[in-house]
Amino acid sequence: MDAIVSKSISSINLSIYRYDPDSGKKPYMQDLSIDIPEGQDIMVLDLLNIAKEQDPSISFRRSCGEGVCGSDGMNINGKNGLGCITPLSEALKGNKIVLRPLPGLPVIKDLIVDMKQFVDQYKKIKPYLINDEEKPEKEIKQSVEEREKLDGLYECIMCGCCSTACPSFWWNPDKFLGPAALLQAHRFISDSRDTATEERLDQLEDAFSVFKCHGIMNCVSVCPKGLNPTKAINEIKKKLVKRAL
Amino acid sequence: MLKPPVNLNLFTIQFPITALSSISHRISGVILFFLTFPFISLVLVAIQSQEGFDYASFLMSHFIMKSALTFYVAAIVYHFFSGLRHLTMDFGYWETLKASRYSAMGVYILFLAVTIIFSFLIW
Repeated sequence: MDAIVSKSISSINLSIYRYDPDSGKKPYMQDLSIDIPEGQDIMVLDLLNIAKEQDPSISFRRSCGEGVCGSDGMNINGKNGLGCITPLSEALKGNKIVLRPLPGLPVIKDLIVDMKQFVDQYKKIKPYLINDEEKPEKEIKQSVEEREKLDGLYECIMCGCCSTACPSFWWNPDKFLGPAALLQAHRFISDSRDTATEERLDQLEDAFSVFKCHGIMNCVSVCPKGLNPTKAINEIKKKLVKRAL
Repeated sequence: MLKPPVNLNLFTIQFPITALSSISHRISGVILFFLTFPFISLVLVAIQSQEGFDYASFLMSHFIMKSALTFYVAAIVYHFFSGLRHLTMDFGYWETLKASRYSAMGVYILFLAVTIIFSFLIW
């Protein structure tokens, strides 16, 4: 794949979603021809930085630049991902790359979306440890096995790639919690130190919060951290069903 | 202030085979919803009397009805295998992306094979 960005190609056709609320214009796709350093497999974020030199009005979020902060989630050639850790060799289709904002969320400007709906759903699951038992002098201990249950759940960086790839979240962003929030919900339900398991499950028992997930796995296929929200959601469903029987 | 736009042009979004499988399941479900009643009605007509049976046989000999039945059977076959896949996943199997992709492909292959066999029987 590295050959795609070899010395033979030094120019990339970038098509980027543009929207400026102050212009009064509708969103449109802007085509740019970007010259990239020869023989290097740069990241999509690097391409954007080069594009910004050509057109300084291009707007996007970015921070750490190494897949930790989750700021630069975007739709890259139809698939959500983080610009900073998606190499061009992986993203390019021929010589072209199309960048759009994360689907389903209101666009503030260009690739910047308003994450409020996403964060509101996250707040609902109470993403913090609830423990009403008497506190020990030091930490609340966990066995190695109990701690292992949190693997694959706590690593989420809340970039929003999964929830904005999910049709159930597109159609019901206020009722369906979305894969990111549900992964975190399962993280606290599974935590041996948390004493609010029943209350957490009570909150998820309606027809929308969890059960709007139909297991299509868009979330798993786009997660830049390789996590599996579908599996976590299924675990919650199983716990709810088991409790009801 | 104008309502902000939302990027949600489905033709620009890539859907993995697992999503296509789910969309197909839904489409086949809608087909079942609309075609089950007419075909069950025809079966009821056929079992009422000799005349009813002859009438149903006559209708079913027409190529449009045969095509409709093939279409209906294809929807049943897909919905059945895809439903089994979803139930299996509900029980906690095939939950990884790889397994889910393979199972979705398996459903499509089974669907094609079984539909072809039924098509031979119908035609």
